[in-house]
Amino acid sequence: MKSYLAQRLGIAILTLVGMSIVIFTLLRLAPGDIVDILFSTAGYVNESEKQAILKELGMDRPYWIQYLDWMRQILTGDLGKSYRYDVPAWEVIRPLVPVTIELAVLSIIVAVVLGVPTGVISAVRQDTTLDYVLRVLSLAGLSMPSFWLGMVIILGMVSWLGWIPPLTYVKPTENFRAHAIQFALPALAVGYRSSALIMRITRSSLLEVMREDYIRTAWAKGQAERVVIWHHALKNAILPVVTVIGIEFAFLIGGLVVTETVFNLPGVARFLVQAILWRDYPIVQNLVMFIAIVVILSNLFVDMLYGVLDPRVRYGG
Amino acid sequence: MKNPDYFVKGRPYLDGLKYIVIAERGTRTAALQSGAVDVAFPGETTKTAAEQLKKAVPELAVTPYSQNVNDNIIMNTKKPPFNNAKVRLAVSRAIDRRALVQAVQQGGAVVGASMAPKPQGFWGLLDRDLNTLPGYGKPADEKQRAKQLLAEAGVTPQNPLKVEMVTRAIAIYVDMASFVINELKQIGIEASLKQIETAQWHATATRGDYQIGANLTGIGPDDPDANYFENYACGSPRNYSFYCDEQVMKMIEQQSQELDPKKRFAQVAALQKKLEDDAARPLLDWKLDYFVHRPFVKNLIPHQSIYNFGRMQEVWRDK
Repeated sequence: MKSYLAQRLGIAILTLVGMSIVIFTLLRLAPGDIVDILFSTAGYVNESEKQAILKELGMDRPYWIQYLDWMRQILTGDLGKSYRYDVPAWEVIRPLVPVTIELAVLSIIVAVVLGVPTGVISAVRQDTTLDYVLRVLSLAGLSMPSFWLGMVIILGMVSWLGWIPPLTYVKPTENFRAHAIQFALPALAVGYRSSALIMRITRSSLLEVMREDYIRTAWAKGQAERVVIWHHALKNAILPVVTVIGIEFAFLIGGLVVTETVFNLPGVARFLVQAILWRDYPIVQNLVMFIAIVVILSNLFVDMLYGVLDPRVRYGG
Repeated sequence: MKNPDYFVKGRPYLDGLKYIVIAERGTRTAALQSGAVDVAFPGETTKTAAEQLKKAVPELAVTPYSQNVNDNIIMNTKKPPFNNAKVRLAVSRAIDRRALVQAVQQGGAVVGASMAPKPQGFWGLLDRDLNTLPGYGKPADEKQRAKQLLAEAGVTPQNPLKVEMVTRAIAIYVDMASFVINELKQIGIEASLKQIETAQWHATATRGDYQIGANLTGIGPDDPDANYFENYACGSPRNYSFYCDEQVMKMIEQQSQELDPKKRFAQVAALQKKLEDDAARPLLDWKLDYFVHRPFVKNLIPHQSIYNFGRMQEVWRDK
């Protein structure tokens, strides 16, 4: 298990280094920079002033020096200064991270709580009315974009209750109830979509396992349905489900732009789009690195979970 | 927060103002309907949205008003194909302004040339003058004339014109641009839409990094000087089309120096006709805003210019 973990950690670090190069390069390949935007917006370009600002921001140096400087900043915990806001990048990023992490975690919890049990029920009651109903519901979840569902929820709330969730971020320490409501609705909208995928994977994986000889043996031994399904079958069917949960979580960290916009939540994804448009390199680089780190960590966690769930992985079989 | 050293004694009444940025149009409307916000931001409530809000919450106050903002088409006169006046004029003739007002603005706008029309503005052309301008005749006739102009410019079904239309990535811009693209298609111009974020929009237009664009222009006071020197004068950074005409410059300066109001009015009318005839920056309509607020918000009077809206000195809450 230790060598397995060490191997995964090594791959994770190499991936991060590769990601940093890709992020840095792609950002510089995009046409224009913040100085271009500032000067063009003003409609007046004084080349000497432009060069002075480029120098002040350190953007006149060769790219490889800028890259090494960024790496040094990351390793020392100093993320540089936002070009647009003229404050340390960490001060800008810090309030965004908990919002996105909380929304992603709550959405995954909703997805798992809805998706896994309905997937099991659908597999166990295959080809019954209940199975068809659950499959239609899951197909609906896959077909509806979560931001659209979010908008429908908001319009439903305002039409029937004359109320909508808070429009500015409420910290849990300020008002826990308002905070919980603010996150519950987008988590439901996003979680429903993810639950549909989890439900379908759980169902198909469980159906496959249910046809295995050892399950037939368990039935033959007279074991209770609950034991056969939850102990023998689901345990062996859960690996692909765990993989999907990991992928979904990774997607949610950076993929909630529109949902955050609809619910007016100040999260990473929505802010990242703005930062890209302003070519605010320190913000974009560090936010994308943050997303990359979360994706890699969630994959690492899933890999470790494989080891816990499957002895063959644990013992290198 | 309230400024204790405000220069007018006893003002402002309000202790503070909170501006909540809501990017999504549906959420904004829901916020107004639910009472999560007290006041709409000017220019963002369409006629349909205001009607829906009034129906859902009858006590809401809705004030239709002109905000001196127009929809217009910018065409880069420095680059082909719009350096050709015939192509520009074809575009102007292709767009059915009255259909735009009905389909896109749901009746929440009025047609007019480069100065706001009456009764919203003082200088606007009368209908009888407006109807003689390119794009204001019968839509079918105008489109036929537009096709002829394109043919004269060498655009034929065998040699169609493909252009990229830019617009700002804000719903009110995109709505208008989509309509215009459909109109252009009917005369054989295939335009693809490119949405540009606000941070880049003015830079793109100022630099002239575009062929054709669907644009909104807000003007300060309803005065020809405020409009013409900024948007049509040679060398002005806000003259996004780079249209530059010696005769027009003389006309702009002449009306600015004229002391006789009647003479100036006639000069401005001639200027408006000249600009539309040249398709310098074809005007499509003048928007009306449907300003919505809760009834307990008092003295918040919508101003004719979008840039003068935020005067909060006399505003108070009867609550």
